[in-house]
Amino acid sequence: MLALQLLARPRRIRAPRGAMDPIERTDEELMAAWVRGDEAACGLLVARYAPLLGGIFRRQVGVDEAGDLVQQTFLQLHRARLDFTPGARLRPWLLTIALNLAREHLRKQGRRRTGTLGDVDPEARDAPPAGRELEGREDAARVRAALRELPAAQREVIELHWFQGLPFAQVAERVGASVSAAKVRAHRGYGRLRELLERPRAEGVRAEDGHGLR
Amino acid sequence: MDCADVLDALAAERALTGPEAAAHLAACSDCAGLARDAAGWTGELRRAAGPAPVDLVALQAGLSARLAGERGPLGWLRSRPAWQRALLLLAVAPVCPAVIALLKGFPLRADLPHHWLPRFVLEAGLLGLVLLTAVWTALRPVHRPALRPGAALAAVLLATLLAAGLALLPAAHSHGIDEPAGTCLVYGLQFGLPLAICALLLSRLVTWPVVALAGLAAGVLGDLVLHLLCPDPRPLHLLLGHASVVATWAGVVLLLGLLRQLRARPA
Repeated sequence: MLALQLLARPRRIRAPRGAMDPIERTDEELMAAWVRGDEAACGLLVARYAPLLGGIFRRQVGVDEAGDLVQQTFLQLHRARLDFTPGARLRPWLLTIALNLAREHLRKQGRRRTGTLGDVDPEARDAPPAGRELEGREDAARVRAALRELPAAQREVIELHWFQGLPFAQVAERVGASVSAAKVRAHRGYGRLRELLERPRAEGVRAEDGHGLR
Repeated sequence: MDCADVLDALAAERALTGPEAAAHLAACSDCAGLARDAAGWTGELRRAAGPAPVDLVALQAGLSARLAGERGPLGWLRSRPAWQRALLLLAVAPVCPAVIALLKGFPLRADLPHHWLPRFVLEAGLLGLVLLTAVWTALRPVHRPALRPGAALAAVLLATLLAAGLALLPAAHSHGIDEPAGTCLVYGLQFGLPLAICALLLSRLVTWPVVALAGLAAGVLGDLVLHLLCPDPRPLHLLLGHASVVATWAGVVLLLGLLRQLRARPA
C-alpha cells in the first residue's frame, strides 16, 4: 500500500535556483541527462525554453492559452524523450512540437484566431504600464493580432523565419513542406502582414469599437 | 537575388542595396512593396519578437502534476520510441483475428489451391503495405511535422478505393464457397477494433489525423484477414463483405471528423 502511495505521489520537478542556468550545459547535454532520469535537467530545460515557447504560443494562439500549451510542449517532450538520439539538436524538436500543438489547438477551437488589430492585450489590460513599455506592449499586441489574421501555414513560416531566425531550408523541414512552398508562404504572409501593420493604429481602435476594418 | 533573399535581408536587418537588389526590386512589385518603408512594419515585428514573461514556479508545478499522470503503464508505453510502439501495435494486430479464427474454427482459405498464388500474395502484400504505413504514420513522433487533416482524409479515401478496386477485379477462380457478405463484414469489423484502440492508446497526441489513420489501419487489417480466410472470390461478395470493412471504418472516422468540426466553438 505504501509503495502504491509512493508511486502515486506527484513528483516535483526540481526547479533551478535562479533564472540563469548555473551550469553551462548545452540543451543536448541536459536532454541526455533527462533521458537518463535526471529530473533537475528537465527543470533547467523548462527554465531555459519556457520564455521562448511562451512567445511562440502568444503569437500563434493567444496570451490566455500560452501557459497551458507550454506545459503541453514539455509533456510531449517528456513522452518523446526516448526518441531523442545523441547528436540531434533539441531546439528544432521543441519548435516542431510547439507548432504541432498550436495548430492542433486552433483546429480544436475550430477557427483561425481572428483577433483584430484593436484587440486589447490581456497583459496590458491587467497592468497598464507607461511610456515606452506601453508602446512596446501595444506593438506586440498589434503584431499578435495581425499574425492571427494570417492563415496558419503562413503564420508558422513567419514564426520560424522571422522570430526564430531559421533559414528557409530548416523552416521547410519544420513545417513539412518543400523549400519553395515555404518561400511562397513567407512571401505572401509578409505581404499581408505588412498591409495589416501599416494600417493606422486608429483603425485598430475603431475595430475594437466594432466599426473598424477586420 | 530572389524574393527569399529579400525576405532574409529584411529579417536580418540587412540593407537592400546593390545592383542585384535594385534589379529584383524593380522587377518584383511584391518585394518592392515589402522593402518600401520597411523600417515601420519590420520595427513593429522586431519589438514583438522577445521572449514572453513566464511564471516558472506555476509552470513547473503544473508540469509536475502532468508528469505525475504519466507514471502508469500507459505512460510508460507511450514514452517508448516510435519503432517500439509500432512493433507492439503490429504484434497486437493478429491477436484478435487469431483468437476469433481459433474460437470459430476458421480454416485458412480452402480455395487456395485454385487461386493464382502471385495474385493472392500481391493483393495481401498491397493491403499489408497500407497497414504498415498507416500504423507507422499514426505513431509518427510528435517532434516531426504532423500529418495534415487533408492528407489523412486523402489516405482514408485512397485506401477505400484500393480495397474496392481489388474487390472488383475479375474473380480469381470459379471454385469458391459462397459466404454471406454480412458475416464477413461483421467479422472484419471485429478483427480491426483492438488495433484501432491500441493505436489511439499508444499515440502521444491524439488528433483527428491519428484517429483517421487508426481507423484506416483497422479497416485494412479486417480486409487483409478476410482475404486470408474467406474462400468466396466473387467480386460482389468481396465488395459488400470485404471492401465494405474499410469503407465502414472510413465512414466512422469521417463522421468523427465531422462531429469534431460541429463541436468546435464558433469564431
